[in-house]
Amino acid sequence: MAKVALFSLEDRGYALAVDLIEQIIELEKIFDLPQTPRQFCGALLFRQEVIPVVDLWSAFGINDANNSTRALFAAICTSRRGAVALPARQVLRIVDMAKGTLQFGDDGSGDEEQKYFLWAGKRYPLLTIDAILTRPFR
Amino acid sequence: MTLDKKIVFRLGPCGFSLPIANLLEVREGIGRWFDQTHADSSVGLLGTLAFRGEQLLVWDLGAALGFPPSDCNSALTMLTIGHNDHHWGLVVGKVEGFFSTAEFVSRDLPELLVAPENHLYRRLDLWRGEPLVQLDPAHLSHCWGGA
Repeated sequence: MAKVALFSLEDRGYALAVDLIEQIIELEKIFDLPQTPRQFCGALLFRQEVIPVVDLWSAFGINDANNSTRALFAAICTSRRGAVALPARQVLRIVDMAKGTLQFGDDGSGDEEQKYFLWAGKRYPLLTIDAILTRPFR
Repeated sequence: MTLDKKIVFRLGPCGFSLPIANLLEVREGIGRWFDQTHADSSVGLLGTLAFRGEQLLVWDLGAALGFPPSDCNSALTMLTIGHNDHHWGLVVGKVEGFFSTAEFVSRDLPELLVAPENHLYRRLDLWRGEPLVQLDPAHLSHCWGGA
C-alpha cells in the first residue's frame, strides 16, 4: 500500500511519497556553494556524495535568514536529475495514502496541479521532486 | 615544500581548494599596494600589482562569484597564480593552510547545482567533511584572459 511521510518545517507541513525517499538523516550542516540555482540553499554530504538541498524555506515563503540551523532532518530523495535533500524540522509520521484524501488545488500560488494530502484535519502539500525543481509552490 | 598539496582558503561562507603547483606566492595585506588605474569592478578586476618585473592583473574572486566586492582599503590576501606563462593575482579571504592532496576526494558538481552564470568551477573537493569549490588554474587562466 502506498505511504506518505509527513514533515514539518517551521509552521508549515508537507508530504512526500515514501517511495521517493532514499533515507531520512539528521542534518548536521548545510554547506554554502557559490553560484548555484536559486531553488537550492546549499548542499550536504551523504555517503561521501554532495547532495543539493532544496530551499524549502523560500519555496514555502518562510523568511528565515538562518535556515540551516533550524532544520534537524533531511529527506534524501531521488529525482530524474539526481539526488536532492529536503529539509525538515520534524518527521511527523508515515501514513497509508488510503487513510487520507488527495486533493488538487490552487492555493494562490498559481499552480493548479499542486496536490494536497488531507489527513487528520490538516492539509499537506504533496511534493514531487521534479515539480519542486521546475516551478514554485506554496 | 612538496607540490603534492593544495591550499585551502575561505571566501565568505564558502571554502575553496587550489593546487599549489600553480601557486607562486601568498601575499597578505596588499590592499594599499594596488594600482587601481585599470580597475573594472564590472568584471571583478581590482587593478594591477608589481610581481617580479611584470604588472599582474589582480582579480577579485568574490566579485566573480557574486559576493560583495573586496574592499581595497582593507587588509587583503592575494594568491599569485601561474599557468603556462600567464600570471595573475587572486584576492581571497582567510587562508586555512596547505594540505596533502591525499586528504581531498574530488567530485563533480551535481548537475542540479550547475547554474548558467557559473563559469568558474565544475568540480568540488571533499575535505574533512566539507565540500570545497575546486579551482582549476587552467580554467581560471582561460576565463581571465590567459592562453
